[in-house]
Amino acid sequence: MTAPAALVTDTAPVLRGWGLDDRSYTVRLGAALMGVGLAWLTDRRAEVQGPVLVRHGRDIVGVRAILRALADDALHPGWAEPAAEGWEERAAVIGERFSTLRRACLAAGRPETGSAAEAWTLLRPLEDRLAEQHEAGAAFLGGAHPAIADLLAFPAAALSHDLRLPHDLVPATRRFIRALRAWPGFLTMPGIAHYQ
Amino acid sequence: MWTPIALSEDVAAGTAAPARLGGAEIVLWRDGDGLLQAWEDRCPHRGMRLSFGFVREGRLTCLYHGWQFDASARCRLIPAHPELKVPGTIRANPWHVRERAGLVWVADAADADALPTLPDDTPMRGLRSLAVRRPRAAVAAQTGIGAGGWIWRDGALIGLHGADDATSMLHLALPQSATAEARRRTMGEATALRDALEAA
Amino acid sequence: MVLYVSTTLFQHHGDAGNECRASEKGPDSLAQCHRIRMEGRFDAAGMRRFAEGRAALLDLAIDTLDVSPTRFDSRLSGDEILLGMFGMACLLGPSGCVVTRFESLPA
Repeated sequence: MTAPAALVTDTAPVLRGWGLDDRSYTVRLGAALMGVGLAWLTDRRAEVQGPVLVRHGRDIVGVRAILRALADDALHPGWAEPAAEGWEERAAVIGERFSTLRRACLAAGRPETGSAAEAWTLLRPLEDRLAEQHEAGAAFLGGAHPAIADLLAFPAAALSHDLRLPHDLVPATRRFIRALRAWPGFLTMPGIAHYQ
Repeated sequence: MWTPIALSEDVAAGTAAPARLGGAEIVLWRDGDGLLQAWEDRCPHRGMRLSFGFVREGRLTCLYHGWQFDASARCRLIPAHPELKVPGTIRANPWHVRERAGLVWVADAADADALPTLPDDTPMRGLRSLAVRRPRAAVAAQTGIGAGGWIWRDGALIGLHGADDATSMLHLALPQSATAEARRRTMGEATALRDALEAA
Repeated sequence: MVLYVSTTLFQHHGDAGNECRASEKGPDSLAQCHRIRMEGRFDAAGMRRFAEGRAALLDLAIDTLDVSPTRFDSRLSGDEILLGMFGMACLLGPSGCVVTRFESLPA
């Protein structure tokens, strides 16, 4: 399988994002995996306020809404399919809460004691779901093809060590990270390597 | 003393995975042919976790500066000095490692005891490893898992190890002949067991 | 703070006088001998442990001549590349040790 060609044209949506912000990364990753061309402008405000997507002259905020908009242009229809059992919404909550915790930890210079406990609370349902999915033969939250739910949950899974939740405790999540990392078009951010 | 620390299937060929045993950090990795290794999770160069690295052509490569280690734990290539004949003193720190009954077992002593006796004629397949936010001693006391770190229960093999002072991991395996329904049921029971252990 | 690193550290010296054979090496191993001196603020025991441990890792023969809270002096022999790696490791140093001056000269 080869990566879909993402063409950046004058009419391509524009991401106003910040390179170290995991939500901005989620948008860049989503566009890259979906094969949707995306121009992006560095905007430090995104570090706190989150990324903004300018598409057809309209500003879209909220990572889930942005990914939904990008999925409209995706080459593969699987991206637009909502994950079963409300997992898109749950993953959105996990992603947002994780992002808030991570910002607090990075601003503090080192992980706070309480952050690991909250990371557990956030990521355990994800680990349980991914273990069940694996047993059912599916690599992702909704099935064999990644969808928006997987994108929303991915930074929390891959960067959980920023909150002192080490990956040896979450083998199903590790498998999920490996599966998405191997998907054509995958790209990285600081803290998430790509070496498949 | 051999301790179960992971499911065999959670260390895929050509990948590296982290593990901890009593706070000691371990990297488990397999070459492309499936040969498993367990080493201290530290590159001898700058202390980078080798579990962040990648496997290429039978060698585990550190993500930091690309030092490559072969199955004997010796460093074979330092990319910054490709002409250097790397001395044999530069090596990773290996643990003893074996696979049995669908689980990965490690030991740190050179005179590691024999593995616990398990029925050879019952090929096992790993089901799930799951973390329990309770110390190993507490989990062992509540589950009846002895010092050997494993127990048979309702046809399932349950392994236990302490990742750190506060966290344990349960490792479950079932006979390969187990039905999909039995696997699903055991998976649910394992989750319930974890939740009960943490609530106790 | 002035950080001085001798430019000879990473250079090969053709002078036969600074070539030696480390007895524990193989017969074909032509080793370089360097006198390595560091100044700074050290936990002396920690610095010595680090330096000798790193030398062992890199298969270098080390003779520690003088260690104090402000000075570390040693003579090392081994492959020149590995001597360079030893020097870099010491410059980065163990925690609690700050190197403000570093010299590596053919011995």
